[in-house]
Amino acid sequence: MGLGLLASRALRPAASRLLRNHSPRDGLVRAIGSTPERQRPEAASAAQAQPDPTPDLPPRKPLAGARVHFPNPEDAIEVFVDGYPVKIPKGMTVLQACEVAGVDIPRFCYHNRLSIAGNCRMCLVEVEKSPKPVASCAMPALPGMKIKTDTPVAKKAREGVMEFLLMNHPLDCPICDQGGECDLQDQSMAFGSDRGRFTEVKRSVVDKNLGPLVKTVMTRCIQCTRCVRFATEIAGVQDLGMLGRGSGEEIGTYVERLMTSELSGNVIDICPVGALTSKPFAFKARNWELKGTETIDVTDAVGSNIRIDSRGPEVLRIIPRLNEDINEEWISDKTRFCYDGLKRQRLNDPMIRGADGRFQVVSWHDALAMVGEVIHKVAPEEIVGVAGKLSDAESMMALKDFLNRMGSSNVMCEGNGKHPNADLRSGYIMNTGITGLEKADVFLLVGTQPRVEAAMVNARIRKTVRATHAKVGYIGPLTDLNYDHEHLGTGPQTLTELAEGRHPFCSTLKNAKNPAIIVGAGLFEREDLEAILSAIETIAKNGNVVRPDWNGYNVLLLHAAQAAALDLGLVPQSPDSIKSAKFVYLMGADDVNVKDIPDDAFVVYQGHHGDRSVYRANVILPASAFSEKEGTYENTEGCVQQTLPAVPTVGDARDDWKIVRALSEVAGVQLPYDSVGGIRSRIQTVAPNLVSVDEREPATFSATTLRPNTNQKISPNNFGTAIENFYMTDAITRASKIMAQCSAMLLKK
Amino acid sequence: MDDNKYVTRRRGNGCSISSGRPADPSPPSWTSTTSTTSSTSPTSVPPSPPRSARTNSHVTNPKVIDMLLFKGMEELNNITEHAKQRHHIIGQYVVGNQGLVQDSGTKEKGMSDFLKKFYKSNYF
Repeated sequence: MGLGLLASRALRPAASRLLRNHSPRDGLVRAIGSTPERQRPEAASAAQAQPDPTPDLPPRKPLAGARVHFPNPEDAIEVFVDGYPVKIPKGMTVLQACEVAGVDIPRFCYHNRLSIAGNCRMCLVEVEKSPKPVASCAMPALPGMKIKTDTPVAKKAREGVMEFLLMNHPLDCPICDQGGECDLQDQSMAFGSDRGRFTEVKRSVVDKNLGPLVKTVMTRCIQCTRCVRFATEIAGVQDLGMLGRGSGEEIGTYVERLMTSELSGNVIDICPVGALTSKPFAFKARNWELKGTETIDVTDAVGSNIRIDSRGPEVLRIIPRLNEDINEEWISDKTRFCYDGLKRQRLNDPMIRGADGRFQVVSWHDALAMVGEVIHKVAPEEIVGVAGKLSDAESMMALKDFLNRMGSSNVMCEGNGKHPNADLRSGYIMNTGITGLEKADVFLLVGTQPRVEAAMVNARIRKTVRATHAKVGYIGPLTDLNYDHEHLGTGPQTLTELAEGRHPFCSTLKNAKNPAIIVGAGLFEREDLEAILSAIETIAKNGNVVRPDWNGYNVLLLHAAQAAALDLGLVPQSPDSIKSAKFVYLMGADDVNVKDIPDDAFVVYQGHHGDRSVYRANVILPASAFSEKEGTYENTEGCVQQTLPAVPTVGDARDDWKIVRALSEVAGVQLPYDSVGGIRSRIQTVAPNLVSVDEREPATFSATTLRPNTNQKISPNNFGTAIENFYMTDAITRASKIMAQCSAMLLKK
Repeated sequence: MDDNKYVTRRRGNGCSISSGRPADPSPPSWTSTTSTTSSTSPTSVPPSPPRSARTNSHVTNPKVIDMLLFKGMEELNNITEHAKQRHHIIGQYVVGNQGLVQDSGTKEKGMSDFLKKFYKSNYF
């Protein structure tokens, strides 16, 4: 980026002058600096010390279009970076001031989401009146400070640091997986010397076993401690640490153990060298061979922004994309490593179960003709459609329209329970928003284990708890939350106590400025859902959780399809319709209890994996997975995002909505749309918020004031765990070998 | 391509070239060497190569004709020298562009454009 520019700018003015002074004898001295002026930086800077003429370069812009937020305008200070005046808020570091001025300072240990370590010394800059170069990441900027980033002193300092770093770094770039995206490689090209003085034997460090996800080559480690800080600060586990000092310094787990965090994959991204790399991706590809597709994740309801890197028809890795509102720059291990599930157990061809119980491959024509024929032989009220947890909004709209045209209103979505309430949007989304959680000072988690249900939401809660010491109360079975919390109880009993004001936590809620209640979507499956929600509403009313300026009532959904399904009104007419169904259309629904489906029912399974429901299906219609189609998803906070196709579909599979549309025609009830555009305009008439992509539409009304009273009794049964195995929650992750390894090795028994 | 007995083409420089032998109605020899007979009947093969040639019948630019001729000869060489693999030949000349499943036409009656495309491929 600016690095080459920076280097050339530095070379131009002084080079000719120094070349003139060069005596022939000097040429014989073995130069270490890549430019002659760096051999005597002090002299060179003295030569440059004459008053700088006003800079004639155009004004610089902040790096990566960053904007500076001034919390308090009086606290703005002015510093000079390479002669340019910059206004920054008080408390920023020198490095941040340089970034605002558009100067990229090389760094290894500094990461803007982690605490400052200041141990790599790569970010040294010259500050006027300071006797030595200073580490800009750790030095607060002071008013009137004159920072120089491209002086010979600063460059010499970087070269020196780089020489020390490379001293013990192996020269194995050709076999290193970080090659091509390695900070050390890039920065040694930009700032390093062209030779080193080290002739001894390099040190070597024993590799550590961090589990099935992170591969370690510890000899490559430069001890920046980013991974240690990530583990302790963001992931909230004390798994990694620095052992030994001096030349014996090593990163490792203190005793022989694996890294158990659900966010452990992120250390691969933050590691500036090839010490921590992806184990499943090891030796699979070079990063420049890959095609990146910016899309979103569907393995949970957060909708983390990801980039799918593919080569040809194969997804090779998934890495996070920056989205401050949703996942910042982290993703969970399930999101990152589920991709091998996309290659296994896929359904390629339409199939019909023959008389012998075996599936036979047929053409699309025959499969659709059969389904179209059978669906007319059953009564409309015996037709049931179930959308799976990975379904996109387009396919759910098509399924609902199709079954409605067939005369059935029994269309539902997995995970929304038997009595979903789709009337008030505020009753099923996270009203505070994921970023909004950072403003909360008290959390009440009801029947939810955010660490396994939505790892990124949990990371946000942890961030808030760490930053503001927010209090967390938790009602549910014993669980492992990685922040300080108070376990209030295990079931609805505690909820009643809170509603009646008998619980000590009530005063905490009342005294809170911005209290947030997070209700787990696992409760949707309970029979006494209405009673529980009304108890929670009483707590919300008493604690002043919902106000015009703050809505702290949140539902944390479990699956990617849930919010859009409720927006589109996928609500069954009768709760137990599946038990009396004669025709069941499972659109990727694998968590339906197959035993509930009557034996004489005809089951159509449309989906991408041969998962649980396939065993009961009579007809299989192969569909495309999220990495192969363009689909709209709404996350738990109501933000609408789209997936983009990264790889072609497998075999003879088709997009979900296209299958339903084609089937509707074969069945004689043709749906009126032929394109994604057409189906989206139909969605617009049902749920207009689903077409404004990348926007979060807050709910208009609050559920706590408009919900009718209920006569239901709360059952004394304790809250359960919604997700038993974090690593395997849907068809894709259940087909993944890596996720199976993780389940076997990392889950605490 | 003309329906002449001899397969001829005018070259750019005015002279014409000939394949040197009559267009034989029996299946080409490569069908037996690559045992493509297992996936197709011998009679269905001969139309395929001319069909691909006919797609370029509108070309009048002599340079392009030269180039097409060169490519054709290269292709023929590759087949006879077994440089091309069996499944490449099947894909190109036996199965053709329309794939293994070929609609007879009667079934398509009354079908919408969407459904016709749907049966062919996911991408439309």
